[in-house]
Amino acid sequence: MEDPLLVFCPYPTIHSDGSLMDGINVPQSKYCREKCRTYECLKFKPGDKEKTPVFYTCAKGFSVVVVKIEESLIRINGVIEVSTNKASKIFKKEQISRKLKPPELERWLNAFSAIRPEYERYVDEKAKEAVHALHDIKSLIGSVLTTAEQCISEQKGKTIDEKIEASPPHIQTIYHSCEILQSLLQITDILTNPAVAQYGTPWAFSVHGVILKLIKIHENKALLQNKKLTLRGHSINKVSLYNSFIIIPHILLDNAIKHSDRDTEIRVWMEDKDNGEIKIDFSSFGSLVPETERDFIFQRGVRGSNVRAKGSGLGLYIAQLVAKANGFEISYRAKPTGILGDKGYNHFIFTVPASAPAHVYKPPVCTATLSTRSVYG
Amino acid sequence: MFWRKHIINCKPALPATEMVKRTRIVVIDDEKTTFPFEVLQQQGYSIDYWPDVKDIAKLEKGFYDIIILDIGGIGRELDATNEGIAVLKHLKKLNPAQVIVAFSGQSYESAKIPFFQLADQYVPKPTPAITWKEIIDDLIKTRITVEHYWATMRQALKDAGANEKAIKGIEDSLVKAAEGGRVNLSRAIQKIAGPIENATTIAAIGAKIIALCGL
Repeated sequence: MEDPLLVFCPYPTIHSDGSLMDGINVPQSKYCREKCRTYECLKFKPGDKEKTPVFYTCAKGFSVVVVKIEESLIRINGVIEVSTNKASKIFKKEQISRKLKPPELERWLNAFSAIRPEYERYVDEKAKEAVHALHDIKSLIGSVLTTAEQCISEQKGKTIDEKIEASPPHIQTIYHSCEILQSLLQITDILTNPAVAQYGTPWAFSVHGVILKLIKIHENKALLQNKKLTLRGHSINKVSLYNSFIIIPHILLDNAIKHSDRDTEIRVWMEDKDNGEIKIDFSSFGSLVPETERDFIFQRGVRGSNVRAKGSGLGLYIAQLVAKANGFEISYRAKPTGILGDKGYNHFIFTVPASAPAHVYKPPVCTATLSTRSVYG
Repeated sequence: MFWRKHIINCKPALPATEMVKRTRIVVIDDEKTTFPFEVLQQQGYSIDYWPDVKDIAKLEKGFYDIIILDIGGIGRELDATNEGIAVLKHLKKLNPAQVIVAFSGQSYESAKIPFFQLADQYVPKPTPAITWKEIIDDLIKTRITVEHYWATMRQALKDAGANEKAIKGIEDSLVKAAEGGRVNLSRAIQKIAGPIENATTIAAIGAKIIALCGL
């Protein structure tokens, strides 16, 4: 079935600004996405009180309109013909078939507002179908994981860690592959429902232990590309984090393996601070993110022009989303070598607060008696 | 000045391995293969398995210290639409001190967010045994404690309208029971705080405290 949004809008250049929960995700125009790379349009935000469409013309001469429908901001890039539009000839040529004039825009917005509930219901239905299919995959991976763990439990050793170490290499490979798949499934959970990043209760994490474990899991994949994973520094601090935290080092390690140069070292450096915080730095050698793109690499769908490996542009967005849910932010720093042009060290740095996120345990409220049968009749 | 003993000072210092053995855990999941029973049982955990909610009264009475609850595919006979969410909501409403872990492969529906947030912990499917061990150990350390149960019991008493004097009186009864004295907690609560709505639930939480102190 055709996407109803595309049926109503022949100009598929709508970029939804806001949380993933608004249910709209139609990419920007190819030109904006792949050739412009100034991301200037993403900086433009109308004031909170704006109710009507707000027009804006970027430096490239493309018009952008931002409109608020209910609580969602909808950004339509580069195709609006208004008096201020002084788009370059190349752009006009590329976009000629997609020109949208203000009266058309108004008609489209009215049509979209009218179909929005139906559209959201449709998106919801499709997402549920995908989630059901994923559930079966999760169950299968769960079964493989449990079987691998049963084999591991028969090995010598007192703790589970010792038993894993004592297991034959093929069992370890199956086990670690299941763990990577499990992390990938957790990413899809957060993508479909960002609230998952804050499900449960923050609990005492040994961040050093988590990263060490992930390095072991990703080691083989890195070795296949002649890349070495190392953990430097040390951390004994335990910090309070949600279960979702594990996704962050997983994404950063996976990205570093994918995008760094062959025969290089991917380094994770950790340091405890006196106030209980932990500073962590993931660094790898390769093409640096161009300066103009650095402010946008954590935005949804944005991929640095320095990367060649395939990807969705969602990894860093999700990592940042989870970081914020856990009370901190990831920052990017480039350290050029000075002799190799655009090459150098890409650093992804964050500081985990000692008590992240501020979680004050409040005893839950008792509101029913033991004899209540409200649910079961 | 007369020295009053507080219930949180009555807790026994049991080694972690002993607490692991004594903590009763039930996993309610229609798929047995997604939880690492064998590995965790081998590590000393007492874990039962139910393919569905087979005895709701047992859960209501707080027989299990930790309930690991699947969200889809269980509790259909009780609530066909909300399944595990309805069980979670019901048990938490009844006894907020009950430790419940939502274990699910279906976290998508935004309408269910508030109910997922009722759970003490959320564990996505599948999750390896080593992570389960860390999560259960953390729950035993932070939730299966006199402090947690007493904080919840105090709050429940306050919500039921008991004043500070009555709460202190009930705490004294708990201390007496924890030290081996014969106390009918339910009756003591009614006697000290008057007829309150949640007396049975509150007494059930008190029983957990006494059981922990008696270990």
